[in-house]
Amino acid sequence: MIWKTVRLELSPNVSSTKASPSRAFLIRVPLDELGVIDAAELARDPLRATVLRTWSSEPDQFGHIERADGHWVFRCPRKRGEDVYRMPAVPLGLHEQVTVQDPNGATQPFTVASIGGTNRSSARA
Amino acid sequence: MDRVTGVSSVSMRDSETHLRSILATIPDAMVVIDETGHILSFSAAAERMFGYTEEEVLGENVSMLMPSPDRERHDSYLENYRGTGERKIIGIGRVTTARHRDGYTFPIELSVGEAWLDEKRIFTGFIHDITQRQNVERRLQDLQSELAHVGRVSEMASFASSLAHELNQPLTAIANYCEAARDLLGNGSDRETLDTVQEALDEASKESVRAGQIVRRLRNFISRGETEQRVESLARLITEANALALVGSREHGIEVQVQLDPDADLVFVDRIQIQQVLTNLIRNAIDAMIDSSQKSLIIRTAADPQDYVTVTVEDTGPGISESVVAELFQPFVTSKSAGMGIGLSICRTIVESHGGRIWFEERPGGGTAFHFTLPSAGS
Repeated sequence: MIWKTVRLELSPNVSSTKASPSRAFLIRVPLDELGVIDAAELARDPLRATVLRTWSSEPDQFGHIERADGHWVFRCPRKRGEDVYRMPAVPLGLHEQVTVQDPNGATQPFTVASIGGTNRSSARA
Repeated sequence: MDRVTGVSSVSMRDSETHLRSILATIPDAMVVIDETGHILSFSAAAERMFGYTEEEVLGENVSMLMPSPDRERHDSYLENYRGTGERKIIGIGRVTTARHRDGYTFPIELSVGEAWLDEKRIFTGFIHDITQRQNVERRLQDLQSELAHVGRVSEMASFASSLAHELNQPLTAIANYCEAARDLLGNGSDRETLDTVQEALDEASKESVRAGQIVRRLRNFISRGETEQRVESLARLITEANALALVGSREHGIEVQVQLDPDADLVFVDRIQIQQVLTNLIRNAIDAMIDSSQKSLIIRTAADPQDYVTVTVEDTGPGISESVVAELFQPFVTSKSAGMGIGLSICRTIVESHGGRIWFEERPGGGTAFHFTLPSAGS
């Protein structure tokens, strides 16, 4: 099982006809060869499963990823409370689409823009 | 006239081709933005440095290339410049951090120029990645020199105590000799008395020379140690210290979070000294996480109701060994296999000389959080 950094970029949608690399999630998760996030592996090292949300002109958000209600949930703490984003538990293939529901309940399409290699510690793991 | 125009057009095309060939080969990245911050041009070196193609980023807000807090503040930086004309970076340059497409933060040296093109203002940023050690060698040498200087100032606190003790001895002796001479002269002025008075004054003179030597030693010690406290932006101090501390750390995959309280920005400090504290703490945090699976470095500030600002540097490393916890801020105490153990001692001296305090605690999820306070300079 290899931990990967997956970059999800906002796809063209009703509010923008252009894909936007300035609106993205970077998630660090254990992926199997089919691109499925390995829940058991993630449960063994939950602090390692992190998310970084970079959104044009907004502060970076960092958080952790956990499984809930058949989804992958990105929990990003704020000064007061937290923002929760939900992604369906689907395989993550390069250039394929996934949806992410934002804290307001709106669902937006994202493209898997890259699946990064292992970092030093994942290579050892 | 047409012929002149034709020649002129050819000349301009040649110039443009020449310019493009230069820009394609220079190692520094070049990003051109309009006055609202949207990207107009993205050089080949910028593509390599940031991991985006020019096609992807054209029209995007340049803030996408920055981590927080610059990301969310950049629009207001531009707005402020358009409104006031006050230059904080244009024509000055600064060390800061940038964000790669893969999410990691890396240190850069940024220079920005301004120009007008067809009555539209544009800004051109030249970005030099200072991650590569050989390219920053000279800058690091300058910094090391400054840090060594600050280190000497920090040691001064402990030296001062022993010097005060040394100085007290000749001063007491001088006072005693002078009192004895006065008493002797009060009892008469025969030859023997005058000889004894002269002897006492000779001794007093020798002791004053000795006191002068001690003062000169102190002066030599601190000759480069004048501190300069002024109102500084904590955001800027942290950004610069973070950039320098991150040099050489890219391969470790450190995730950097900077969370700044806008109400805790202005502090009254010596810039170089506080940057040394920050650099020491950030470097320690990075070193602590080298073998951890989670590598999150968090730097945060918070306003304190007591007119202080609290700065926190957190890591997700293994924590601090119990054997050194009690004496962590003492000189020559370290949990590192390589290190003299004076960094935290210097940090404490610097922070306390600013009227603040420094302490640490274990993080709930693992790792260590170092906190220190600094006097706020208000909003």
